[in-house]
Amino acid sequence: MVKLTINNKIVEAPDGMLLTEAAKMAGIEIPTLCYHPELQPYGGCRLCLVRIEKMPKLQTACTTRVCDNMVVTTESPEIAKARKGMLEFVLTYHPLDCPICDKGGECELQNLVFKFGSGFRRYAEDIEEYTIDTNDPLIDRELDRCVRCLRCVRVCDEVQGVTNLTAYNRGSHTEIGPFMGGSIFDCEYCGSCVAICPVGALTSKLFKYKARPWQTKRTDTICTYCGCGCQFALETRDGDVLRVVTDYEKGVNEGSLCTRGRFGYSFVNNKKRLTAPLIKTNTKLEPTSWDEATDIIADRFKKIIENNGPDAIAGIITGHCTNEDIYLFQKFMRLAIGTNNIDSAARFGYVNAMSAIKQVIGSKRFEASLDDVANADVILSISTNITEVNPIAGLKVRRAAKRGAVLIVADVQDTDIAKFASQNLIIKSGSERWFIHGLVKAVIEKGFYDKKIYKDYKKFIDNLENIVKGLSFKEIEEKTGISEKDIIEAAKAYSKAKKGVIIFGQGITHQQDGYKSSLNLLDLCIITGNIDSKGTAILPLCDENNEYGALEMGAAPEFLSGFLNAGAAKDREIISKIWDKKIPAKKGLTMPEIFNGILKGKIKALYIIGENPAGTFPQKSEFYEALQKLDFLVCQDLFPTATCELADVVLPASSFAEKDGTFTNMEGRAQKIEAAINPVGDSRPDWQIFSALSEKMGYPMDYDNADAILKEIAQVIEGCNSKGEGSAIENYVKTSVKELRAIYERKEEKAPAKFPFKLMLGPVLFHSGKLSGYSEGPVRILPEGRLKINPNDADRLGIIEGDKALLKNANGEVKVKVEITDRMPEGLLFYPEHFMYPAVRNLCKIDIDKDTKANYFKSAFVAVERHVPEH
Amino acid sequence: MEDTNIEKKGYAFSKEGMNILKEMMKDYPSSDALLLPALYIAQEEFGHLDSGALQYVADVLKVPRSKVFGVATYYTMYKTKPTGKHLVQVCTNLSCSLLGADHILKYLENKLGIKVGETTHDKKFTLITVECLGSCGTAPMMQVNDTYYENLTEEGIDRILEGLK
Repeated sequence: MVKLTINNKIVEAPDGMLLTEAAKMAGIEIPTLCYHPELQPYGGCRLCLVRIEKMPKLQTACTTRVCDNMVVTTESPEIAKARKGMLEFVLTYHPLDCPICDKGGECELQNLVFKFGSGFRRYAEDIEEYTIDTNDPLIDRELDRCVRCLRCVRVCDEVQGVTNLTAYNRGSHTEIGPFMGGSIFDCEYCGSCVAICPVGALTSKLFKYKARPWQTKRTDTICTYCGCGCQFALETRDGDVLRVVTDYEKGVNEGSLCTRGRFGYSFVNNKKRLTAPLIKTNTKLEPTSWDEATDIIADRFKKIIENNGPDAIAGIITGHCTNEDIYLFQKFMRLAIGTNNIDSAARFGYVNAMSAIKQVIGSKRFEASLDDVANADVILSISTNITEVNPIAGLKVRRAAKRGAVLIVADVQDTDIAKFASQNLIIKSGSERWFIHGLVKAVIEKGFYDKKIYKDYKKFIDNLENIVKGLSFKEIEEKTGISEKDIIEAAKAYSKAKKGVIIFGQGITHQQDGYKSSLNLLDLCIITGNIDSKGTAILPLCDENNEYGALEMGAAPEFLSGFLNAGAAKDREIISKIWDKKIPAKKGLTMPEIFNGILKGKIKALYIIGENPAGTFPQKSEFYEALQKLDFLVCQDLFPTATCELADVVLPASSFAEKDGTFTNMEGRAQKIEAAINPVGDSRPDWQIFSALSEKMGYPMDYDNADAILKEIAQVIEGCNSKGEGSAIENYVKTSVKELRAIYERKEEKAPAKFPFKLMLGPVLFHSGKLSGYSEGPVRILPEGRLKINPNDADRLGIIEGDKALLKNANGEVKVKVEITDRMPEGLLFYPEHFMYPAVRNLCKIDIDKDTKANYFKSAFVAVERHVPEH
Repeated sequence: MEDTNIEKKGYAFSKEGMNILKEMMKDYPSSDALLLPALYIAQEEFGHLDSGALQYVADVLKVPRSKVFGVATYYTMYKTKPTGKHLVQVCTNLSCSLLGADHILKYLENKLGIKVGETTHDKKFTLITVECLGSCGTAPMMQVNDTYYENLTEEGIDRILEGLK
């Protein structure tokens, strides 16, 4: 700490702090324009000029660091004159068009001029005139308003690490734009530049001319897209969500957002939203009242229970619902219906990671912090294009790497994050397990393992050694394409880490043996000592915002709330006691088992909340068939999906913007969301629907609000945690020894000669699930899917950019537009899973994990040819 | 520094150019810092710095291409547009202006039949203005390609241009 004097006031501040910040701490405001607390000092606008004793001329407070005995004056006639002069300079080029400028009312320049300077301009020479650039799909650029503070350029580089924007040309001719001054930003569209612009030079097309900032209501809430759980505020007016804003001090995202979060909000007010309950009369869905709709559902459910028993009903819920929704849903199914046939979207793969983690850490609650990622010294990122799937988690990785952390990236394609990597290992698709086992082998055989751990877990490590002995580095290189040297280097770096972090994604969890691979990665954590100590983490990424919550609330046949084991009488007893009603003992069915049950006629009714199997499952699959065979299908959704068309009753649900509750992100952090607008149309929050239904089913679950449910959840989960156990990892290490060999089995997949290309489906940056498709922003940036293909493959097939390719296999054929990119290795194709049409998913078949029954359909072997359009 | 894959797009440093760059790499703290010399080599080898050349430099140095673009457009001595055989750079800074740079510029415009920033039809001359070239003592002055021409007069310009044809 140093002591300095500002305006005759003694101020204490940490050594090296910027003068602007020290003054602010002391309650003294120094005007700034180019300064931003998130950015490095720049000193471009000269508005923060102050007088510092013993220094010549006025000094910029935003670039001056405090030191002992500094004497500073921030207010004097001299400084006022200088500020006024600087503002007049800034205004030399700035049009005084505030009444028609979208920034009016929240413009920093406008505020400064009101406070310190005249809005009068003496400069009378010609000034450079710029045309308004409106060619970009989302961002309008009006350079005559730009004050050249370069906040946009700096945030793009320093915070986002994208470095897409630059200042080009020089002096008064300086302009802001992407490479070659192009009109189209063509970037990640995180919108940080728009958010940080102090004036109206960069504005969002989606918000433009919609409202003045003082007319909107601001509601803090949590993003509904991915598992990062970013905090933002919705600005609304008259029931319309107008834009998303952030505060750089708040949330795991610290003010940063991705394109989905920033620009993907307009699905909330999309005209296609379901606004009333619908029931099927003859073949058409007709609007009806809530009372009638719930009556019908309760009647049918009761009849089915009477005739076929409660286990003839099953329910599936999306990971986009709140904890309160999901908790009440599983309670409804278990008590009001009386079945454990409950599953969620986590079954598509996330359950693999979570089951493995629970296997290792036992009853302890799983938590991993994104801060640990940002502060790690070694990060091992496996099988995820993190920037596109979980952009803010990707940002943390970027920050760590920029700070000097060793980043090892292993994926089947060249990903964006690899730009920051010390090792970018492109492994052959399908060889992920060889790669992971190679790491384990290297750690053990080269003696990189934690010596203390060897003492404790000797048997475990010896066993592992025996298992990996059979696998040679030569075989690993053959399968993965990664040399022994590279694997050893990666294993060594990770083993030596003090704060080692493993991040893994869909390439592990949503693929063959996802559960076993997750366990293998956990083994790697255990033997290197990177599991329990502070700062270390293993983090499975999840692409729906509340998949963690879905599992923790108990929307799975194997889990009760708090991850209790639904198969254990003792665990059921704990919750039954709080619920005051017995949880059925019969084992429930997982998603694939539910669909099989339907085919076998065992399941008669299905209650689907927010999932769209008819629109997302491959049509050739039996599961798709099963949907047609149901006696009774209830769909509860925001939008009329393909599955809704098959339903007997459709219930309109409210979106995240219309309800209170909590989401739990992939860190295990439960965060509060708050209703920003009233429910759209006649829609209702999901929990209210379950509550109404349960009453008609004769088991009333009455809650005043979402908070009341949360209180009960807290009670239930606290109950779960009270059971206490010894060291869970020790337990795992002891018990897994027997099964270890099975966990390290590898199955090779071979492309059939007829279908030599491997097609992968996966998430992309601009879209996620079906919500983004109903949002104007993401649709404007990426209206359709493109098949990514390697240039050499394209060459061989005679395909050029803009062509369509014909993909074929035994399941059918489909035409898609191509994007030729050397980020894809030869022989591998990638298509965004988001787009329903063309239905590329139909080429895939649904695979089921033996251990966890996870059902995934993310890849297929196909033949590719150039599609010749008919004239 | 990898130079694979980029050659296809028609831009690649000559062996000598690449060697110079690699040599210099040893003396520079980071590849960002090498941007200016790399751009010079690119300009020398490719004639001027168009988008392909800038992208190439960005790829070679692994520096974001927008940064390369920003730097290349900042300095007047990097040519981002194709120029004629002789690049006539007239200083219009203070000393030269006081001693008639404006007039010199007008005279050149008339004589060459082009405006500042343009190139003659026969692609021989490009006329641009530049900032101070540090030759104030002999103002007004201009630089043609790499040669300084000082104490300019109308007759002097006639003679110089004649010699350049």
